[in-house]
Amino acid sequence: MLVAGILGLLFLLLFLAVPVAFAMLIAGIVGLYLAGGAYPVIGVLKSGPYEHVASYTLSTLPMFVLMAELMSASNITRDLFRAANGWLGHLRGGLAYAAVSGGVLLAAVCGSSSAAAATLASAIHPEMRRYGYSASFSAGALAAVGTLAIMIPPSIALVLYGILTETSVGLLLIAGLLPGLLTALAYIVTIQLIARLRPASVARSQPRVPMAQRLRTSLPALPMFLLLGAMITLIYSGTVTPTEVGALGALCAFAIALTLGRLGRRSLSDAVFRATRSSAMILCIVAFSAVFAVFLTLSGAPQTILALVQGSGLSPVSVLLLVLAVLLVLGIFLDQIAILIITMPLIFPLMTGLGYDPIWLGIIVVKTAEIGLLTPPVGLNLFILSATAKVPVATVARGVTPFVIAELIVLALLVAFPQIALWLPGLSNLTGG
Amino acid sequence: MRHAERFVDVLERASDILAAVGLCTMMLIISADALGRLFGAPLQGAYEFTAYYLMVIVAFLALPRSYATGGQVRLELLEPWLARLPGGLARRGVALLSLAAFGLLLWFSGDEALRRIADRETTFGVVQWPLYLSYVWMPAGIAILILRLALDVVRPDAPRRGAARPDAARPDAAGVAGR
Amino acid sequence: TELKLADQFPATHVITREGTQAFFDYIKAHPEADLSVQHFPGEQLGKANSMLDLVRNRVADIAMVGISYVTERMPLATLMELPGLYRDSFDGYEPFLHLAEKDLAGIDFDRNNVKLLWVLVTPPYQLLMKRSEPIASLADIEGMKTRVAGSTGELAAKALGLVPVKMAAPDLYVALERGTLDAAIYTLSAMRSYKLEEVTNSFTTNASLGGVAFGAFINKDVWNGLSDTQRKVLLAAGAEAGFHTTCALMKGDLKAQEALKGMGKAVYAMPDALVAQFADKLSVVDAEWQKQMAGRNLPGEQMMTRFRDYQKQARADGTAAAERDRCLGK
Ligand code: NA
Ligand code: NA
Repeated sequence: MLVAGILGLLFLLLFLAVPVAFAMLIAGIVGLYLAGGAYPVIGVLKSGPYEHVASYTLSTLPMFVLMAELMSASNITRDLFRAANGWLGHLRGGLAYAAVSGGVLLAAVCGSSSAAAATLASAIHPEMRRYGYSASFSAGALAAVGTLAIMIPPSIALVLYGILTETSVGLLLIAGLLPGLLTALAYIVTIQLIARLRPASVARSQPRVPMAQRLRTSLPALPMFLLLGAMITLIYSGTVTPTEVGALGALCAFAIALTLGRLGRRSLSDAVFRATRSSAMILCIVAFSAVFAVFLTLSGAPQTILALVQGSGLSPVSVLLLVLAVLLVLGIFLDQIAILIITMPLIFPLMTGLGYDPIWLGIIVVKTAEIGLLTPPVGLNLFILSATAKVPVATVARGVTPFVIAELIVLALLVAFPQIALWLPGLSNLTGG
Repeated sequence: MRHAERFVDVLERASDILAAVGLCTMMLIISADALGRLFGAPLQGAYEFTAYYLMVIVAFLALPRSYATGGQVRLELLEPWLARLPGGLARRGVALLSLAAFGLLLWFSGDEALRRIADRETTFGVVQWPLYLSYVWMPAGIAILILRLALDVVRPDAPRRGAARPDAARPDAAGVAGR
Repeated sequence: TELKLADQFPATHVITREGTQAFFDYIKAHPEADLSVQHFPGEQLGKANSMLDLVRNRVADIAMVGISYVTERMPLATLMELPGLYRDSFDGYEPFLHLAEKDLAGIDFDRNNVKLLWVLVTPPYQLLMKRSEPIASLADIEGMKTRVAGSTGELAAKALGLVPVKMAAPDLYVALERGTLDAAIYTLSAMRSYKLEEVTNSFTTNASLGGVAFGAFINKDVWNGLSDTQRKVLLAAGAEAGFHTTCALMKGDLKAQEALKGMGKAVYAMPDALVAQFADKLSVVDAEWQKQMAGRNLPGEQMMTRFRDYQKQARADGTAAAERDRCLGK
């Protein structure tokens, strides 16, 4: 009951246009007070928001944001899109396919879906707008494409699941690859459908560009491939860790821009300040959601609901569906890390006890939590797109809807065919357990 | 009033600059650590310095200006209706509510920071980090934010400096194709 | 009375299943105390480094605090991280329990407004390496990039000629897999919960590169509000938890050794000469620790002497051996 009331308060605040981070803080404080009195309020305010931000792991986020701002300030992404337009512009939605491919490449170096969404928003959204895609379609598609980072290795969420449940991190990361690519495929199909059903939101197709001109426009796109290639090499050769690669990427982007003479003092400082403010926005949502997450934990509501599911004596399939429903509902107002931390101590023993495979469960749970990043009113990727691309949240939410439907279909496929997730780990010679 | 606004604006800019410097330092330090490790000489203390200081500085010192320039994301769905309320009621109400929450946050986190400073809390190890200096940035940023929120309660319609840039791109496909 | 217990360990972690569970079991078996404890595992109420804050500020009533996370507030207790301090879990547990109750309470604990319920001590840290052949000399490990944890890990690694690397736990697996790291300093059982055996090949069993101690604390105001029966039951339940956790970790290490051998990995005791060389090199860590404690006007040297005295006593009167036997079911 209390939880319902506080959720109501949170939604009310959000609809009164209170900044999201502030709304989480206000609702969290009220909730904590009603759930546990003054002590939890004081205790959590003293150090909760601080400690969630003072984290080395989280540094990957501002670093990717900085990299993206440097890339767009020096027009590295503009050149890439001009080249992509030469090759794909005659297809309806051609550049959107390019964005999905770019998202897959980015996902191969970036382990955080928030960081990926912010990168895409600042680097690609302006380009898609320039080529005539509607704000809603572009922002929605990029918010969705950002979530690929969570499935395609490396992935902070899968690693966290591995640590929380003592499941092999290596197997989880391998297991995420096919579901991630399947999701990318689903996005491409979605874009195709949108291009047919809602042609106005997708850029008109343009005349075919002669091959010579295609090649000519491709040359300036090289720096971008150089950058991504460097990052992939750094990460897979073990030179840097997934947490560090964003910083190296930013440094490379900076070096490339300087070499090409693309970065004036003015555009450099603009890029840095934009990156700083975007980072602060996202980090503050992380910091103040923590207050709300502690309230939710202390209220005992998730625990009670899952205990009910556990004691219900339902069939394993029904239990699975109920658990997924709980995760989807939590995803409406929490980010995926918080969801994993709050629910895994309950869900993991429950589900593995029913005979579900721990690796497969990890993919399903992370996938479901990932969908939560895209669902309003509280969807971190929506907010990141909105703030970085300067598009109202409602517009992003409208644009992302078809992609969420695609995500749900992919989730259903993953549930129906566990082999999609388990085939690759089965081939690997890792000796888990 | 004008003076107060000038003052808050200067504070916001200064802390924003500090945060931006922190962000660039973070890039350099993490890179130096990773590349140094390649040659068997990682940058000692990069881990703690990033987590304890730079992350906190970036998050909370850029917060005031990020709020003042409309960078803090919010749902604008009902904005047109809310704007019609007389006397800037919606803006004032939101600012007042936020003021209360951040006031509590400043009170308790500031208290905590002062206690740690009084104890000169310092970690043990190769580098003895003055941890108390890690706890001052959040209250500092929140304090500046609170000044801005207070101004918003008094004068909700004050013009903003350096407000958000509009969507820079033009939906102008033909122009591009012609190039 | 309802109490909230917070910790950082996942619900499936051996510390939760075999150690903390003993605490709950004991309390359940003593209904006369009218206590119920609600468990918030896996950082649900706050990050690992904020456990002391949680219990101090009464967000939780009881919390398990890793000493390495709060070196600024419990500096003397970092003694437990010093390399070569104890031979196995119970060789460290018994003396640390005495030191904590008799000596540290007045200095490190009281000023944080917390009361100790139980302690746990991990088995001594070992070297886990990617290389497959056992090490024969210090030259073999020279310049190895080694992930260190805790506050003394970096000091110890430097003393041995390793390159100490700090790294977030989530990156550890991939870093070992791809050769970003050559080695890590860790306990074998903890390593198994991260599945690091998939990406490492050889393991020492007698390196004793330090360890980690945890204290489970209850907020003093909460403690003062409890009845005598409740306090008695909590302390007894804590003693159970301390013993069972330490025991589970020790057995976990032994089991891990067997499992690793079964996987065909090199699990070996270093030759005595090398162990002596290690000890020789590592003595600078003790000196540095004492120096830093002295710099804070803390009785570091005295605590070290006390610890060694308690340890001698526990070795001599057979307390440590008895606990070890009880644990291994002998
Ligand atoms: Na990824
Ligand atoms: Na959501």
